[in-house]
Amino acid sequence: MSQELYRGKILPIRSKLQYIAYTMLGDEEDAEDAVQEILLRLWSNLQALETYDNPAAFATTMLKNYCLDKIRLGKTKESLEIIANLEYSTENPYVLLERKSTETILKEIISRLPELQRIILQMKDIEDYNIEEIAEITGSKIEAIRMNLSRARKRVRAEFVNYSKETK
Amino acid sequence: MNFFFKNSHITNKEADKIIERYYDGLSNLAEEKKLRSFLSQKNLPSKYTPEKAMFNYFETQKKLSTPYSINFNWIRISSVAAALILGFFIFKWIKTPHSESFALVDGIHITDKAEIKTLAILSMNSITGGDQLVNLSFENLSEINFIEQELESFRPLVDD
Repeated sequence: MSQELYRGKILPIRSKLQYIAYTMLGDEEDAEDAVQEILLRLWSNLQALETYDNPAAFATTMLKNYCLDKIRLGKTKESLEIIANLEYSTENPYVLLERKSTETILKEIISRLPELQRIILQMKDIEDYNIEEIAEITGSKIEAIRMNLSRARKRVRAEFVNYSKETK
Repeated sequence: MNFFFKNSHITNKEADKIIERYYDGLSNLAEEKKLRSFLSQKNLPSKYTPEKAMFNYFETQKKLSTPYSINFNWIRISSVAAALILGFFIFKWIKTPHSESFALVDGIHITDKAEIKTLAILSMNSITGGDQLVNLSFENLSEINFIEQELESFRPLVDD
């Protein structure tokens, strides 16, 4: 029922969502990421979707708020990387994570991923979704999902290697 | 450093190719399965440590998330089965005549449901007849009262 609702009410307005995101963020790639993230968030909480009289309006509001947050925090494609690096350098999670088990370290690293990357990594490598399935859920091109998955995996590896160097 | 593995595992070179595809998001399920098997080996070169850690982590997370759904399904299936079994036994208990279900009619112990029902209907009929008898008695009683009232009017004359 919830999946039908999602496919019937949310997916058809994908292009509208994409347009809103692009208008607000001014970058095609950021807009695609924003839409993917909102759609995956909605997919991960399908039951809540049923409680809204107008799920399409709810999805639109959710996307607008998401974009406003991005603008306010300056989290565009470039600044995201800078902020992430700053976070890591100032908070120094490696110190916090010292002597923690490998599992805890990876959990921490994954939880620090940008949400879209984290959701896609979780769906692909833990919940065993195919890339094609994730693309269908978000109405995205397979390449767009593959790109975020690749970023997520590479980032986890890089952070893990950095952590290992720090603790040696 | 060269490592030799059993036939069931891929070589380091093959693993490297799959790892590269994995990080580009291009590896398929079969390749990832081979890679998982490769990484499960002991004494691997240290360059594979991140991949080994990541694959182990994903496997642990998969196992952690699976039991909940299995348990949930088992609880559901068990509940339905328990309800069906209980329902069956209650139905059987109701339908089967047992020592506690009997009627005593004129001192005779009867367990047959149909026989008890017939006798009960007959008894009800006789109770209806009883009602008629009671009504008749009431009518007689009214007549007796009337006679007594009439006699009462003559009582002063008798007393004098």
